[in-house]
Parts: sequence; structure tokens; C-alpha cells
Amino acid sequence: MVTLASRSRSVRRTANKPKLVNGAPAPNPVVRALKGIVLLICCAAVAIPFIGVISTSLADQDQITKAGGYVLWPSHPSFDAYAAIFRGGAVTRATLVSIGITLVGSLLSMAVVALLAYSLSRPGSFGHRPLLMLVLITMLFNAGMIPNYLLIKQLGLIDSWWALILPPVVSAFQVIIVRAFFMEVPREIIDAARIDGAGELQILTRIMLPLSKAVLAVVGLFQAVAYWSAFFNALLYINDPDKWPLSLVLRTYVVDNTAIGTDLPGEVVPPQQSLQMAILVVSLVPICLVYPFLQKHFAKGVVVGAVKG
Amino acid sequence: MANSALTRRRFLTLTGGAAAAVAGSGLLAACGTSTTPTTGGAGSVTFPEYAPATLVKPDLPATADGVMAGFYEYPANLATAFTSKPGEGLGNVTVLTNMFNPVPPSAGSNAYWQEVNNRLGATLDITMTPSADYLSKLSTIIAGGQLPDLTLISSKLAHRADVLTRMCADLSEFVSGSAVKDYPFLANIPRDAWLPTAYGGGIYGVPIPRGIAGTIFFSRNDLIRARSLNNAPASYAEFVTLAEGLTDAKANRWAFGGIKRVIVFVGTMLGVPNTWKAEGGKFVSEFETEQRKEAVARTAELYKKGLFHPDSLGGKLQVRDLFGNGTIALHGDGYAAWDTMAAAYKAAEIGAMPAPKAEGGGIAQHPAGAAAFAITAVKKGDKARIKQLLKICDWLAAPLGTTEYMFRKFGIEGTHYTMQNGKPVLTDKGKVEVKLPLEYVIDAPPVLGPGDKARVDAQRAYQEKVVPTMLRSPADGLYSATAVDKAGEMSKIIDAAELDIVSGRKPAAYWDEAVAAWKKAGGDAARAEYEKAVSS
Amino acid sequence: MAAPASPWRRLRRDWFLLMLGLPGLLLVVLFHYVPLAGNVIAFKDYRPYLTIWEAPWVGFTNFRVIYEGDPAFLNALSNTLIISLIQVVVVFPIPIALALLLNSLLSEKIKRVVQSVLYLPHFMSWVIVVALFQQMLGNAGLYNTWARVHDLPLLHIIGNSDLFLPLITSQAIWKDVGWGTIIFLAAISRVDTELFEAVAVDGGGRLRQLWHVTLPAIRSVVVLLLILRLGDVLSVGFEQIYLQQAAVGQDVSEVLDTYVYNRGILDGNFGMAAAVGLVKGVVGLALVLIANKVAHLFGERGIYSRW
Repeated sequence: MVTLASRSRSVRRTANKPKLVNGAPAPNPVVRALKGIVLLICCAAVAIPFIGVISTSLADQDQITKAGGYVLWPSHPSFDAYAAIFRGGAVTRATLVSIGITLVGSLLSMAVVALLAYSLSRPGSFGHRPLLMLVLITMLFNAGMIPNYLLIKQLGLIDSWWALILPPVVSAFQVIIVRAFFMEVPREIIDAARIDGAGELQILTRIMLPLSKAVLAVVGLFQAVAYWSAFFNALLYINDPDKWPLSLVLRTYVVDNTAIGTDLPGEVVPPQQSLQMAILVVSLVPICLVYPFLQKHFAKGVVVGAVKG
Repeated sequence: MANSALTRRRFLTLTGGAAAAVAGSGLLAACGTSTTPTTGGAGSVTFPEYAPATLVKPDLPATADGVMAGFYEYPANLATAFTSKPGEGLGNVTVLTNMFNPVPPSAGSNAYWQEVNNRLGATLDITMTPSADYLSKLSTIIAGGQLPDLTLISSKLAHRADVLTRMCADLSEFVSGSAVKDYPFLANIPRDAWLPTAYGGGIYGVPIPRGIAGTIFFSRNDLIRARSLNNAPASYAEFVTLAEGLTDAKANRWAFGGIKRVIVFVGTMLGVPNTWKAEGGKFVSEFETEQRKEAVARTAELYKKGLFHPDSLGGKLQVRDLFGNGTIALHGDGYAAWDTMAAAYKAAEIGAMPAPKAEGGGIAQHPAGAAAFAITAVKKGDKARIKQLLKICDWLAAPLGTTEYMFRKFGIEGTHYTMQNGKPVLTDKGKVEVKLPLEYVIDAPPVLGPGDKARVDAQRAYQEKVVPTMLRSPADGLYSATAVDKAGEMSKIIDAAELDIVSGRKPAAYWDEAVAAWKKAGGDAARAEYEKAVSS
Repeated sequence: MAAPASPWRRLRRDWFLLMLGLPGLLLVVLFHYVPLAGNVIAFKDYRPYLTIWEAPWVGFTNFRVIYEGDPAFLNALSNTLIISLIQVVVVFPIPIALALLLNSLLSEKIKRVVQSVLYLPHFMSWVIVVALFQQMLGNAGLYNTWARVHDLPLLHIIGNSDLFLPLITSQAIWKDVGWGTIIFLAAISRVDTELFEAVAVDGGGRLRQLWHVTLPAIRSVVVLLLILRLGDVLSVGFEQIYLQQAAVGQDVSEVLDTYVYNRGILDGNFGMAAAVGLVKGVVGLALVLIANKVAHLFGERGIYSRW
């Protein structure tokens, strides 16, 4: 196991030829140019509207009014919208709440999902098929809002952060994906380890997890994003605004567009596009910061085959 | 103080609306013969006696028709209406309501909230929910079986009558007739607003009152003048001329931005009834009238002429901004938007356009807006507690001219607001803390101003033109379970058909098909329920 | 070790393995199965002010929308299937292609930057995505406003019923394709570098590496995701479509979820929502199981194999 990385490096060194990528000659310039163009278009399609989002968040009401909504470049950048969001401290506290929920939830999720996926990944093990079916079904059938609320209420979790953390811990989709990755780990390695006297926990922590870092990073990322952006459970389960996560607090800043269509006067403030866009930016920044930490696990380098030796 | 018998008769004629003039005996018999009970819910109810508060004399007094009172200035001398703390001894008072503002700091770090608790003598434990999600929250709380002390019952809640009668206190014995005198500011809420509180012979809530001026068709008078057009069209033809004159696609200018409001406005010109009309005890829906069909067809013509903003079909436009920046020149919105828009778009000269009769000959009859935003129900419990909760409601309804009102709206002077040129101006702390949605628990009836005299005068002038002849719905104060429980589905059918026809995806004749679907989905059942309610 | 043993012996052998899965299973049962029992309201006239037990039984009344063959329902069903088909055929493969493209990049740095940019739209809500599209492509959007001033041809995209399918498809691609690459990149990251080198030693180029090494390595994940996607075939982006219904009309845009919303949930008809949810679940389960069997026929493992 220890030699895993070093061996792969030595293999690469033996294939030491100039301009080689994974041992193959570098692609020709035309192909590279085409790739570049495709990626450039993709990035531009995302970046241009996104610059609009940031610009609008910095624009003043006059300019937005003139543009009728979005601004591509702020003529008089101002941070008023951001100041408005952070005034009063609710957003700052909610950010901390969200970070806590996201961290605890994602870590718990990674642990529980990995354990469950592992326990269902052994061919021929007792009851794995019905148990897998049990998990799969939760992906296809959903309980309604009211039964979920009644359960949380019965458990006494109203106004508790556990009401936000626990229900989404196990996602059937992720269990199935992680299990599939575990099952790709060659049987010989596991059998060999068992013969060496390794127990289940050792096989999991010393073989499965290191070889499946990438998929665990996927679980972590998926769950982090899910915890970070979820607001509906908080809306139903958390009455105390002090305990609200950021997603719910920010929702109260977003002008209810539909109210304009009603006959109820005085219920809407003027559309505050810059505020809305600033909210989007504020909610994006922390989750974007997480990504680089997980990204390295997607990089190549873990070599399954090397373990066989 | 108004004579209660007189106001009741006045109310009945208004309820009957225009139809009452030609109405058969059914409606009149039901209402006119008895002296005390009036129609309401599925039984008879004695509504609270209306006793307008006389603490301050408005510059422009309210009228019995429903024209709102107007104020140019904040009253210099405030009356303190409550000598004792209304909630003393209640302890924790739980409240569930919606909000349209960013969430304020919680009680622990909110000096305003703490002072509210202090002045009430009770701890107000408010659960606030963004308005867009309020129905979900309310449904789960109801399913949980335990309501808070005070709950905002949205007008869109299905099975509203069952929820109210099973889970909420009947307030009749506390507020019916002259009993409401114990709560002078609840007595200050006009009767129109109380109508939706009546179910099955009881009063199951306190209304959050609104002016009946409803929707106003706002115009950009500066743009109209710049093009030498007439901002007061006297007929449908003149209205079309105005809209055409305001449209210049190349310059990014259009007359209209929202479809629905134009259909309603054209319908007003054509004389479409307000929701229903009653003829001899028979109810006819507005959708079944030729005029309503015609209004949709004419709006489709306007659309075809290119008078609408090209993205108006989707309903995703920031119409107020577009109106503010002059992209669109005519815009229907709630009456309270007048002040909001005037504050946000200082360069715009905003006017209100009454709908003329389509063929000329004066101003058309406008549909009355809802007189209540929603109602707040009180949890079932012992009488003493209910009485005290009503005292809190009374405190929350204290009108302009009281220290209670000023505190509720602006907080503590010096901390949350300062008086500048006779007007309260919120401080930064005030902007953050005075966002507690108390106005969505109970509020005083709305007034015009206090504010800029010219604007208050313009608003008042519009209301005086339009409000006295307003069309009430004969269904106001009647309860049809189907109309409430199927409201979403039924209005979806109509809305979708309107958009299909206006956009040109379907011919005008498709309207009949849609109305047939509407009848099947609940229109016919609602009609039968209303007719039964009237004849009983 | 794979030799069949009696259940009892297997239980004794595997009990610790099962214990490892226990926390997850308990959470599944508590937070999924317990509330799932609430779906019994599909057979009841449920109203929130009644408890689930008090609500009267109504048999299959709530399923009426499905079996009565209401034309609007059938229209919603066919729109759903069309949109789902497009999403499986057109949208599903794009993240795979993009992941392969990203993987083939030489510079690790560029790759990371590109990935980070392409993930961004995933974090935007549909409200904002729809608004951004209108801002760019709307009839009064950036292009058309410009074109109108310069007398150039206008692009009637937003609010055009004929282009609704392409529009929502491109929105879906824009929003989630970058994000969708993650799982495939994770799968590719496991590929044994030795295998690449083996191909290269045999004189194979990058295309052969792709064909013989990378694709086989992610095939099982692709198949698995495809099977799971089929379970969702009756649900297509509710929020995305609901937000844009008014612009194009219900004839082309009504799907199952919006139908249930417009006809039931909007009016608090939770029974009907539960009924349609149950049917969708049963159909999804059947499709998943069938697809799984088909995958076995092609020698794939699928969700689980027959051992």
C-alpha cells in the first residue's frame, strides 16, 4: 500500500520521452486549437452573464433603472447593496450558522454514506440486496412536506439544527454511486488484505477510502452544496430567526416578484436588482471557496493497478 | 359617530353593488328585512359597530363610501390611548405571520422589539415567514395541530372555514355589535374589512384593513405631456390613441408592461362586473359575461398592435422599474404603490388614470379592491386570555395620532427615528430594527399621507372620482367553500386562457372553452353555493 | 468466498459489516420511511386540520386525474416524456464529453480554472437563470434591443412556443453541464496510468487511449447514472418550467409536476399530490429495475448484479 504513489511515479519515469502526455504524443495543434475554442466559448457563455450579475450588484439604482434590470458594467460602482445586506448582523450570524451546518452535515454524510455503501458492497453478503432496495426506494418515493414536519415535531427537533442536518444525511443516489466505486476495487486486493488479517474497518480505511478519494470528494461537495443552499426545511422547522441559515435569511431579502401581480397594495418595495445580485454573490462566495480544497482529489494520481503488485 | 343602522343599509346597497339596483327580491329580502343580523359566512352575524376614531382630525376626512382620509402633516400632538399595558400578565404571546422585508434582528438584540414587549407587558414571540412561503408554513403548523395565539390566516388558505371554526376562537361575543366598544381601535376598522371574518354565524378573526381603492392604472404624465397626448382619455378609442402615441419600439418605449392589468382596465371600461353579479338571486360570473370576453379580445388586439413591452407575456418583468425609467408609460398597481414609486423614481411624474366608459360618457364603475389583506385569528382558549389578546390587537390597531402608532411604525424617537421638518426619518438602527412585521398581525385602517400635499391631493382626487361608484362583489361576505378551495385551479384556467388569447396562440373564441372548463372546475359549484347562501 | 452459504452462516459472517451500515440504515428508515407512511393520504381526503388518521378514506379518488384520461393530463404526460427524452438523449451525454475534454487538457492550471468557471451556474437558482436568459435573449433583451435600433432581424426566442424545447434544453445545459462533469472526472481519476502507458507502448495515440482506457473506465458509472436517471423520467425541472409557463402557454409547457401543482398543490390538495407521487415512484422503480436488467444483458453491473 505504501508504495502506491511512488510506484506510479517510477513507472512514469521509465516512459521518459519528450512531449509525452500519459505516454502518448501530444495532440496536434489543430485539435488543441479546437479544444481551446470550445472551452473559450463555454467559459464566455458562463462568464459574461456572471459579470453582469456582479456588475448589477455594484450598480446604483439610477443606472439599473435606466438599464431596466441588468447592468453589464457599473458606471459608479458602489457597495451599498453589500452594506445593506450586512447591516444588522443577521447575515453575518446566519453565515456562521450555515458554515456550521454545512460542515457537520457534510462530514457526517461522508462518513455515514461511506459506511453504508461499504456494508452493501460485498458480493454475497447477508441481506445486501433487500437493503440496497430499501435505499434505492427512497430515491424514487418522496414523503410530503406535512408528514416530514410531523416527524420532526414528534422528535422534538423543532428549532434545532439537527432538524436540518439529519434528514438529508443519507442520499440514496450517493450511496449507490459510492458503492459502485467501492465495487470497482479489485477483489484480489481485499482478499489479500483479509488473508493478512485485516478486519472490515481496516479494509475500509486502508484500502477502500484511499482508493475512492475522488468519489468521497464528490459526496462531500454534493452534500456541502445541498446543505448550503437548502432553505425550505429551515423555513418549516426553525422558528427562531437567530438560528436561521444564510439561505433563508437571504430569501427574505429577495423581493417577492409575484406580489406585484396581486391586488395587495403596499406589500412590495421597489425591485432592488442590485440587492438581489449582491445576495447571489454573497451566497456563492463561501461555497466557491470550498471547491479548491476538494478539487485536488479529482486530480489523477491514485493508481488502482499499482496496488496489485 | 355613524348611525349603525344607517351604515348597515349603506353597506348592503354597496354589497349588492350595481346589481342591487336591478336586483330581484332574493337579495333584498335576505338583507333588508332583519334589523340586526346581516349576511355572513354560512349564517347570520352581527358585525362590530363601526365607530371611527376621532383622535385627530384629518385634513381630508374619510367618507362613508370608502374614500380614505388624507393627512398633509404628522399630527403635532399625539394622544396616548393606552394607560395600562394591554398584555400585562399574558406572559408569552405566540404569533405567526408573513413578512415582505428582510428579517429583523431577534428580540435579544433588537431594542425596538424589546420595547414592544415592554409596552405590551407581554413577550411577543413572532414567527416570521417570507410571504412567498407562508402558505406552506401555515399548512404545516395547522397539520401540527397547535396554532399560536395569533395566526395570520391567508386569504389563499384552502378549507379556510373549517380551519377557522375548528381551531380558532369565535370572537362574536367579544366584538359583535356594541361589544367592540371595549376595543375602540378595532371598532375603527370599517365593516367592509370585517366581511371575510364571518363563517358559520361566528366572527373568527380580526381583519387587517386595506382601502377599497384597489388597483390603480398609473400613468407617466410627464411622458404623456412630452408627446402632447391626452392623459385623461374619454373613451376606449381615445385610450388606444394614447397607447399608440406612447409606443415607440425603436426607442425602447411601450405603453404597457403587464397583461392582466390591461385586461382588467379594458374590462372596467366595458362594464365587467366585479367577480360576480347577482340578478334576481341568480349569480353570473364576470367570466360568463360578453364584456369580459370582449376585454380579452380587445387586449389581444392591443397586443397585436405592439403596444406591450415585448417580454410582457412571461410576467417576469420588473414592471415598476420599467415604469420608473419610462420604458412603459402605463402600469396598473396597488394604490399604495403610488407613494412607493414616487419615492423611488423622483424624476417620474406619476398620475392615476380612471377608466372611461368604453363609448364615452364619463368614468366607468371600477371594481372595489379587497377591504382586508387577510385576517388574524385568535387561538381557542379561556375568555380572559382571548380578551387580552384582543387588547393587544387593539393596541396594534391604534391609528395615526396616537403615540402607540408612532412607536409601532417608527420606534423610539432619537433611537430609531428623528423628526425632520415635521416628518419622522428612520435612523440606520431604525431601518434594521423596525422591520418587525407587526402590520401583518393587525393594523390601523390605511390613510393617504401624511406626505407631500400635492400628491395627497392627487390621490384623494382620484379616489373621489372613482370610489363612490365602485362596484362591490355581491359575493363579499358570502362563503363558498368551492370558491376558496379551488381558487388556485380556477384562476389558473382563466389566466392561462387569457395569455393564450392575448398572445395570439389561440383565437378569441377559445374563451368560451376556457370558461366551460372554469365552470366544471368549480365555477358552477361556487355559483350554487353563493345562491344558496343568499337565499338562506 | 463467494460460495453460497446458508443465510444463518452468512449473517454470522457478515454481522459486523451490517453494523457498519446500521447508522445509515437507521437514518433512512427514520427520515425517509417513517414520513413515507404519510403517503397513505393518497387514498384519503386529507385536510391539514384533520390528523392523517381522521381523514376519511376515499379509495382511488385522488388518482382520478390519472385514470380519467383528462386531455390536459395526457398533454402534460406527453410533454413530460418528450422533455425527459431530450434530456436523456441530448443533455445527459454532454457532461461526459466535457469531462473527457477537460481531462485531455495538458495544463492542470487551465483545467482547474475552466472547471471552476463552469461550475458557477449550478449555484444559481432557476429564477435568476431564467431572468438572465431573458436579459440576454429576450424580445427586449440585449441583442434584440440593439437589433431593433439598427433595423436588423429580431430573434424571437423567449416566449416563442415553437422554441420552448430548445430553450429549456439550453438552459439546462448552461446551468448544470459543468457541474455534471464532477462524477465523471472522479471516475476518470481512478484510471490506472499504467494502462495509458500500455496503449502508448503499443503505439496507440490519444484517441486509442480514450477508446480503450478512459471510456471503458467510466462506462460503468455512465450506465449507472443512466439507470438512475430513468427513475426520474416523469419529473422534469418543475421550477424551471413553471417560471416560464406564462410566456409560452400550457400547451407546450405543461408537464406532470406543473399539472399537479396547478390542479392540486396550489389549492392544498395534498392527497392528489401524494397519489401522483406514488404513481411516479412506481413507474420510476419499474423503469430502474427494467433498465438494470437490460444493463445485465449487455454485461454491465448496473445498480446491482445477480450474484
